[in-house]
Amino acid sequence: MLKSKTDEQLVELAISEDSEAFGEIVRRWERKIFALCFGMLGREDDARDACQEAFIAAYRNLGNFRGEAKVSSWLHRIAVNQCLTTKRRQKTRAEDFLDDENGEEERTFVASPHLSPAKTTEQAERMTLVRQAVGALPSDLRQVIVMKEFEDMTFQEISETLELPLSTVKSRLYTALKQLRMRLERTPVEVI
Amino acid sequence: MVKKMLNNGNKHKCGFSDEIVSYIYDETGESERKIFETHLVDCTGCTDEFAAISNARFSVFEWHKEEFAHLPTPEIVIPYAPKQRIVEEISSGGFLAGLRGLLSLANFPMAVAAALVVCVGVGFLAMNYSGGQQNIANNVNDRSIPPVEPRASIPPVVSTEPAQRAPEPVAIKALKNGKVNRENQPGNGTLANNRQPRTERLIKVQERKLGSDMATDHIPAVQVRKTVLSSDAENDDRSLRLSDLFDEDGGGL
Repeated sequence: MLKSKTDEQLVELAISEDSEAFGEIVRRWERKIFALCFGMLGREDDARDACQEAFIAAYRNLGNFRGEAKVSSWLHRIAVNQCLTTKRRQKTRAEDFLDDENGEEERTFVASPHLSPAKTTEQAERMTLVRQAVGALPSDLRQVIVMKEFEDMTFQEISETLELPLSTVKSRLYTALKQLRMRLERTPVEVI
Repeated sequence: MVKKMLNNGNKHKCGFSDEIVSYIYDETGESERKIFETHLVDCTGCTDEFAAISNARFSVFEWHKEEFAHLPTPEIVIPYAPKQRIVEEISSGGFLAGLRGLLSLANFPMAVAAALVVCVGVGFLAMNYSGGQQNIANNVNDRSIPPVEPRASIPPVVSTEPAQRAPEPVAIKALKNGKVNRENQPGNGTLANNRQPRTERLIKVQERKLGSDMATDHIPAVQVRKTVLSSDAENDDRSLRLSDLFDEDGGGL
């Protein structure tokens, strides 16, 4: 019943205190919002917390949703704001994941059975570099690259979500990848 | 687009940045893709740029694959509104939880209706109880009347035997005078002595119930009989006088 409704219809039902409708919104978007938070924050725990907080914030602000923007845009904006808030907290605690050395122990790497231990270690180091390079990008560039790679959104969807021209989305992604390349070139690691 | 392709220089001069990105992510139209591929073969700058961007993109793709793809989606817990919590409590909780839910402000009309029903029920019970008390009081009053009833209906002959008309006063009198032979009664001896105060209390209670005229010996049976006898004597006297007159007339005839 609810699965056939659009996001906007579900929000209207959720505003009229239909918790099932908001539950359907959560089911539809939780994976993408989690991916966005993970790409923005780089840590699973932080991403989970940010995702949770983002949906709670969305639920509490249902009354402020006026239908002028798409639900996806609204949710992404809330999630990005939540991620930026989380990063500010991390900075105040001097726990920015870019400088976090202890965080490596918490992360899990799925090692391919075809890789040797040396290759696995090299892969892990490379992932660390990529994560740090993405984390060092400006938030507007990082947001676009995460939405593209982690949420698998099209340019048109990103444009509608961020309410930006299509050309701006493409140029931002181009700039993001270019800066990422430059950062990775400074610490070259062989691509497997 | 054609002008861009004709400008076969580096990326800054070509301005193919958007097309590179679109091509990498395979979001170009068929005709645009062919044009870009034709340009890419001839433009060394765009080729280098394309390779570098593709490499960076692959790094991010790999990062996503290695560190994110296997992660389970977190379970989102939303603190829904109190109304739903109450409904959940009623459905999942016991009787008290349901009662709390019914009496809460969220269910104000239900609470008012429930209170009204309770008030009506209590009022009905109170009315029944007070009616029962009045009946009991009336019965008690009726029981306190008996001395009046027999006095009105008792024939004069009965009045000569006060023990049959009202046995209790006689018994009380006997107890007072000590005429009751306790030795012949089943409750004699120590037990009888123990019962003495109780009998005295019973005497007082009976005195209160029956009234002073019946509980004491101040109403002599002779007095009642005397009054009756006097009325009978008058009737007898009157009949005698009429008979005397009749005899005189009859006798004259």
